[in-house]
Amino acid sequence: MADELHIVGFQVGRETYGVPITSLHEIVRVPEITVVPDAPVYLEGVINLRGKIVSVMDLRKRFGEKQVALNKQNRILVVEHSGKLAGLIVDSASEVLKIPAADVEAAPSVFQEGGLNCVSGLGKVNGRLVVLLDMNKLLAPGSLLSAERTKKSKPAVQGEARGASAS
Amino acid sequence: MKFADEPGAELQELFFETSAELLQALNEETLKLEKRPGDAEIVRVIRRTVHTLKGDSAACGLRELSELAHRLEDALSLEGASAHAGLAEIAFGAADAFAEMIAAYQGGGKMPATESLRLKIQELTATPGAKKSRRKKAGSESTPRARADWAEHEKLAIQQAQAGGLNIYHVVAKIDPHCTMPIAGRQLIHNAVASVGRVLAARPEANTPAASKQVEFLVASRQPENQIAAKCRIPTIASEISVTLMPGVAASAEKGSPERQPLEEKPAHTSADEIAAENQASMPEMSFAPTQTENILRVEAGRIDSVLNLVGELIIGKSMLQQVLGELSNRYPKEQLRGRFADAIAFQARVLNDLQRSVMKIRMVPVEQLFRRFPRMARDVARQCGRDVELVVTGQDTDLDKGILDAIAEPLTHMVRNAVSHGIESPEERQRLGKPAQGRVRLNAYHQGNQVIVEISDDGRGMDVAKIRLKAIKLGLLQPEEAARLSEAEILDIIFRPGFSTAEQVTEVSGRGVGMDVVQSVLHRLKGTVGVQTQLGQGTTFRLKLPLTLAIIQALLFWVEQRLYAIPLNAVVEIARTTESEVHQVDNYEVLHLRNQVLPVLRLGQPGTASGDGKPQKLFVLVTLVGEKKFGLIVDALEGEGELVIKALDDRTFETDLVSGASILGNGRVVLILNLPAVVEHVASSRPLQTGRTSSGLLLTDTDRTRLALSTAGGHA
Repeated sequence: MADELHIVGFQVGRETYGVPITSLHEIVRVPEITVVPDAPVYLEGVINLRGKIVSVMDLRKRFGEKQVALNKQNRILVVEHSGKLAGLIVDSASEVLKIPAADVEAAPSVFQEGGLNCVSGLGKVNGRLVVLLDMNKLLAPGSLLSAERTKKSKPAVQGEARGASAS
Repeated sequence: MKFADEPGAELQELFFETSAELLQALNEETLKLEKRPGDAEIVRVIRRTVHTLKGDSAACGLRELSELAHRLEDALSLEGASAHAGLAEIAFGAADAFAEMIAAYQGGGKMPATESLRLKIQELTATPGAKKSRRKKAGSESTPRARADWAEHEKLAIQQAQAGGLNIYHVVAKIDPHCTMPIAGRQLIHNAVASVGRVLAARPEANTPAASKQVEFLVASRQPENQIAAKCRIPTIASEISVTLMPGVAASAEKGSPERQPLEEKPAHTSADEIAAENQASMPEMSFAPTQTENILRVEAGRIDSVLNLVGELIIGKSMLQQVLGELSNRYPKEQLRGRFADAIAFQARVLNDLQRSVMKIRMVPVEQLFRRFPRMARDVARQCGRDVELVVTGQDTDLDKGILDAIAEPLTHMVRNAVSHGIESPEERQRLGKPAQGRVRLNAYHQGNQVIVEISDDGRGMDVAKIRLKAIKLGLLQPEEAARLSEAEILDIIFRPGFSTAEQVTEVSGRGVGMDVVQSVLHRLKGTVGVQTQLGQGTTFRLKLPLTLAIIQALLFWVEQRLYAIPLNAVVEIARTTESEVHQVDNYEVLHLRNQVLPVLRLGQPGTASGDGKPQKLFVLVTLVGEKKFGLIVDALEGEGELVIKALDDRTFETDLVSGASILGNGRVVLILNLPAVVEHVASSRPLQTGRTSSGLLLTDTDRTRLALSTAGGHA
């Protein structure tokens, strides 16, 4: 019993991901999102969660989905990370999964090298794979920006350049 | 070193708290001494301070500290000590040594070496002709005795109280020599006396060495003597109490009740047992005579902040109510209840306003708290650099939010240091220039509207704009042609750029600029600005503009790309409506021709997308004042003004400096508050690199830009 992980499962694209239920604050429908300028693409903006300002990241964009559109199934997982709340937009939130610790494998080292270092392990539930996410790494300031940083070193300039080259 | 488990840990905590004040006093007095060397009165004050420090530290078991203080005190009580020229120097050294020792006790660090200081103190003692002059020691050790040298105003108060039918008692309490904290003990006795009546006078003054042996109070009370004595007897603190009824002062003789008149001094010595019994008996009938005790609470800042947060929530609640009222009025324009609803909301809003102001006031502290540390520092710096500088401090009682005050402490220290070491010339140079040899650095603070201004000015050499210009070009911060075009004010702003300030030998060039980017970034974070004015050869003035508070601002709300943003209202100079044709391109800049003035403008959204159809397109321009510069912001539409409660964005996820915070409106919508200085800087720093249409669409996201690029590409195809 003790060696059982309680995981909240959710879908992003075709995959099922999971975060430990202890790090989850709540799941809400997607409210109006206020966009923050000059932020990485996958940082969607901020929402008003009962008087608190919570920043929201689109996990679908974070994981490289190209076409993202909001629909009714979309949810925001509000997670607590070192004392602060953060929101993660997912395609849909499914269920609470109980995974025996024995059925969790460490993340393949390829992930670590490939920049997907926020994966803490792979869990097997009824023959399905659940990608377990490490909140600390997913939301750590460094990891958030490092991927985008190189690309976005001069946001304003780049935006202009893109506009100019297209017209 | 950890004290938590040791006995007396609390005492030590208390000592650490009070010692800061003692050290500050020591520094201030020594500064005075330096100006008026040989002033015996100042030396006395210094000795008293050192004595208190010695006593308190000994009580806390801080042996090294008390030993050093003891030596210094001894040296100071010598007859010829005050005439010694190096006294101020020694006192400064001692103050530093004490501070280091206390820091060592607190942080468990290493004890500072005090050998050289000890040597100097010894020298003082060895001065020929020095005689021990330990007076008044015997006197204060004797039994409590009255000393009836009350000041005029105190005598007046006695008369008035007696005229009012009160008895005046002379309470003398001898403080237990074994009492560990005599100063605190004095306060306790004072409180006890104050609880039975009105304290008219107290001797000796607090914080004097004599106060740790015996205290005297004049108290006006209706209670009998023995009850007062009972109140004052505090085990382990007050060992002996004498309460004497004061005879009526002649002038009030007829007015007093007759039986009280012929009273002679009648000391009421009481034994401990008696008092314990009486103490219990008198408890329930304790009178609540008006007291004059100081009502000061020490509250943890976090608690006040949480109250302030709640007030913030209430303000959001208020705007929610107002929103609902508005909708209700639209839907049921004839409803009678509407008026009452509106009244209730208005009433609540008014109270809320007062509440907000009161809470804000709690957080306000006089800038004195920060300013008082500068005279000593300026002196030390001047000493090091061979300058002769006087620091003139004014406006100390200007109130500022504690958080802001703490945040500007470092930049301000830096700027004062800069002014003394670089701003002021050497005495010889000053004389050669026909200036007084002593330089003057002024530190001033005052309110201006919703802001607090802090100024640091000197009458030194000023900054040479031409040299800064050259240096900036040399450092690659400016293109030569650009440098030629910029105004003096714009050139001066360069000293706040990171690249400039880290440059070597900057002092030789400008005399300033060291670390000014740090100052600037702190000010930006506080939503304040820093400006500089200089006159070559006349001096330089730095002006910090700070918001009164961090938490709540009056803001102007506007739309850009269907998104709502806000800027602080006090930054807005005017709101202009103009047309697209008034916006001109000059080089890579967009400028607006507004009433014969040329104003640099900045587009927050995308330019001219709404259907123009040949008609001149209307634009909203917010003319803002950032620092000393005017700037136009082109926005899509205006929403209005409102009171915003600033909430921080999670700065770990958003690295942008364009947005300084967010707020929630009455309808639940989140509005972002723009950080104007950063916006302006963003444009200024990216300008030289850009080609074509610049400074537009600052608030567009990458997604927007892609969408725009696609749509324009589609349109052209």
